[in-house]
Amino acid sequence: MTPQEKIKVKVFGLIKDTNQDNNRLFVYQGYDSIKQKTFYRALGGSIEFGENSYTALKREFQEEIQADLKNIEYVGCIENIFINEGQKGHEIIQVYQCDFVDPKFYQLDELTFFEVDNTEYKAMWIDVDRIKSGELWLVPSEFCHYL
Amino acid sequence: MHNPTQIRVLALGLIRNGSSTFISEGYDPVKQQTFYRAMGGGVEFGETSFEALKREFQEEIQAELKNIRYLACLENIFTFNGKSGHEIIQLYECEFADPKFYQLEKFTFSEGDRKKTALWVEASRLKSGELRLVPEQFAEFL
Repeated sequence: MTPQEKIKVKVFGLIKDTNQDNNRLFVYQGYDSIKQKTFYRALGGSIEFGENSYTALKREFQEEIQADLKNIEYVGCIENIFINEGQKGHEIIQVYQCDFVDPKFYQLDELTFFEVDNTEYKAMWIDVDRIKSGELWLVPSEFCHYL
Repeated sequence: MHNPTQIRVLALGLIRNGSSTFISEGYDPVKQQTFYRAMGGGVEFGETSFEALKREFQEEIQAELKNIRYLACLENIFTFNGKSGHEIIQLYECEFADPKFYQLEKFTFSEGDRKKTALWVEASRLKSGELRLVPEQFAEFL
């Protein structure tokens, strides 16, 4: 068994902004160099052994973009079996809907952050309509059910 | 083999028959306590929990399932046999395709090299705490 062949257990935060005629989702941008396609994904991360998904969600948002969350509500579990960068992956994702405590996050256009492995990512708000029309690729696609 | 400090993903099946529930019996030697849990098992890499549920019932008691319906996801952080464990359980409600499983009172089956017992138990005995059900959150689905 190669190290990649493990189911990863994750938690994502579904953060929507519906103020002032907005209908935006907070995501980060990634790129699959094999499919040569940009994708968007909700922020969050891996649940650690012995940690519940609720605690992991709050910890990940703290670590990645130093953000506190509020109104955290569980919405569902997604099983995602996929190919990324030519490698097969398998994730179980606990999804929570939530809001940022600090209003400054709703004013940002773009935010750069670093993962533990020092990879640089950009987080941003994208229009839900552009996801639904298929113009922007949100992964996993099951996530669209919650929009 | 399963890494003891890794979160395990399980698919379990809740099967009812009137007021009874089909459940397997286990024993924690450290707590010196018998416990009961729904049958099923580990989800393999690349396999959906739905497929895993059907495979596990096939492997363990050669039973086919029907009317399989997803119920919920349970997070279970616990201690068993003195060691901590962490599971994510995809819980399904289902029925046996073969009516013979509703007539048998008790089954013995093998899980690896262990002999295990599965049986029909009155749900009220699990809900009242007379019989120890794991994980406890499971009780709300009985």
